[in-house]
Amino acid sequence: MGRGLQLASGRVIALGRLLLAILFVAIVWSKADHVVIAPIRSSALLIAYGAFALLVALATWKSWWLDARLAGPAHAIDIALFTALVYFTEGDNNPFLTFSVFILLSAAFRWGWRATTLSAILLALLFVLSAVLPGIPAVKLQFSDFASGAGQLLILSVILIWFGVNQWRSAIRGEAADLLAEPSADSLPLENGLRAAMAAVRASRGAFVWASNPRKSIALLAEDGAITEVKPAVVPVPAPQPFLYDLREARALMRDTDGNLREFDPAEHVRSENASALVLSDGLAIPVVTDRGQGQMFLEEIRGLSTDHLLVGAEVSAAVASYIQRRALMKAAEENAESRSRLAIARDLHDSVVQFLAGAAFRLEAMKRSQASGRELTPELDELKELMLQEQSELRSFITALRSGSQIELAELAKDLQALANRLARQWHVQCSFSLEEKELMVPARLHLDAQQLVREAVANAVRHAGAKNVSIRLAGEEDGVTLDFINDGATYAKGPEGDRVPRSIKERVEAAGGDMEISRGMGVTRISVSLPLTRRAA
Amino acid sequence: MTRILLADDHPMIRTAIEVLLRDTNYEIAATAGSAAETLAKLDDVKPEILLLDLSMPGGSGMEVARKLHSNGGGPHIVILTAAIDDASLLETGTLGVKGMVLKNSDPAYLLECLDRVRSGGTWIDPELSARAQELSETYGERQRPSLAPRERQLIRFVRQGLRNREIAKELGVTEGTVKVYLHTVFEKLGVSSRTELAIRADEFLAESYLKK
Repeated sequence: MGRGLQLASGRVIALGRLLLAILFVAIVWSKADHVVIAPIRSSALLIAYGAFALLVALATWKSWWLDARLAGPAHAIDIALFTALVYFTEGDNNPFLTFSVFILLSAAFRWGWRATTLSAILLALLFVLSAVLPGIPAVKLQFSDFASGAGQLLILSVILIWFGVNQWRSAIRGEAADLLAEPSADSLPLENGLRAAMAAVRASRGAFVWASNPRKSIALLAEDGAITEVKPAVVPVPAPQPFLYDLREARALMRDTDGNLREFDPAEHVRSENASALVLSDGLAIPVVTDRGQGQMFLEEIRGLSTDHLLVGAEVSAAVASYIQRRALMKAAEENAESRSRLAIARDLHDSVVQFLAGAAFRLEAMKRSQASGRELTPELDELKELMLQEQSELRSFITALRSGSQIELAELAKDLQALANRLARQWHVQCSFSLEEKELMVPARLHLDAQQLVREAVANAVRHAGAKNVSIRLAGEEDGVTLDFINDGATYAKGPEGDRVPRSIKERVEAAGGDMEISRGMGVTRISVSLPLTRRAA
Repeated sequence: MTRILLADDHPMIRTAIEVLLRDTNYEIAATAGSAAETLAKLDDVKPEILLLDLSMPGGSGMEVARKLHSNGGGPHIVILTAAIDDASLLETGTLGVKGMVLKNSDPAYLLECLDRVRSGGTWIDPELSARAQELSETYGERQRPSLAPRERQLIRFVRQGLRNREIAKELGVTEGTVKVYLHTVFEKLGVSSRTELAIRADEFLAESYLKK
């Protein structure tokens, strides 16, 4: 297919309309006396339609804006022409009936299933109306013609509405999308990936064989809702694309790069060790390749397994790979933060203890030399003793700080949360504002992690479950901790026995951090107020 | 009296050395707490010896030594440091550093070192000289192409985690030139990635100084 028609359904529709218009004119001219009532009027109408189709094609060929703006009016004119053609044409052997296919197909391409359904209903009504309208006396409606036309129209409509429903719909939605949302530090990437893939294709059984390096492999088996680890795992060479397999018949099907179906022996990409250890028989295999490792999922007990699942598999493959990658990056960032704090400790020790001891040694050397020259040592000894006491006290507070974990400034936390809020706003397509009530305060690294996770969960929750469009996050430093307020303009949370049902993930995290939370509703907004202590209270 | 500029940011060390040099032939003419302050005071004070700490805020002592070496002349440099990496240890040999004392060594070494340097000799802490010897034995046998000063500088920037654009700015060249330099360095050293270059930077820098 030429490059001009790739990813350009607008151009295909415009070109199709033009070709159909030319064809209609040709039909009318060739069979005018046989088919068409009032041939002159009809052909004049068709020539006008042809000119219109040409104009639309020219105007929209290079303009996505005009293409979008003219789509609705052009669709209305198409429907009107269809009605006119049915009205002015003899009932039997109506060559224009298939024009409805073009109209429904263009609706399905452009707008999805709702517009396709509306177009189908309208076409059916106009078809019936044009057949029963008293008009040109020569038109004689035969019931069999009408039934045949209406039947064809109905079947075509149903197929095209189904197409409209399914064509652009992502397989990653609902539970699968939830599982593959923003990964958290404590999430299990392989388990979540497998669960999401199973949810996307509605598989009841699944396995995930994964190797993060040639020596370290793992196999997970999901059965009856539980995931268990199976050993030993043999990681097959991941296939280039998802494939359907039937091990009993030694059959497999995959789409090649041109989209053609190709048969092959599944042995290489499944491996007999996996087939027996994981009890595989037939299903969909999805390769997952990231720069952190590679593996393959085997999804079985899928209802209505078909070649359509190959397309869904490709989408799932990309989504799971991206999720594992994001989780790995997040973990690397955390490890990086840890090693940075180790370096900071080493630097602090170097700057304080090592330098002090070196200085003390120089002082002692100086004193030794002074003694040799008969100088009084008491003042210098007193000074050195004073310095050692000071150093001891500094060292003690340094150790206390180390015990309570590495600390960062509140302003640093605010900077990170601001960046996170901006990222979440882009991710969820909402307004997400962040503000800080300034205060000189050092917060432990653990609280830093908790706060980030809470912001992620609160925003995701407000968008997903309350349909919020605006989320405002406020951070304030207190004497013994910090407070985080999340205000969203979404719907009310469901009521539980003790008032508003607090989002569970947030509640659990706050409790684990030894904090408190409150939820309140008023003026059309929901406010979740979380306070986190600087030191964890015993649970 | 030999005039010394003492460049160390730690007050305890500064006071201790002042006390140690009391009643000797050395005089602390001035003190500096950063690389920039050291360079500024060198012009004002014109000391005979610069007693230089390597770890200071706003740039390391190595940068001061490089600058003095590239300008030519200047005072005798004596490094007084708590720690030094292999690459810097070997680089000091190319920068004309006259003395090196570790802060954790016997404090008497400092006076011994200063005396030797004042009389025109060099004095290297026994621990450091043993390390330098070991390094040359480890790497000396290997045949690796030597690195130009510019290439060494590039490796140092890569080790610091700078991106090409930032390196280009530091070196005053275009990003494209940095890519060409990097490619040459990769080829010379047989490394396949920037990460490998950063991780093994110390080894490459140390080896490259041995070739001098």
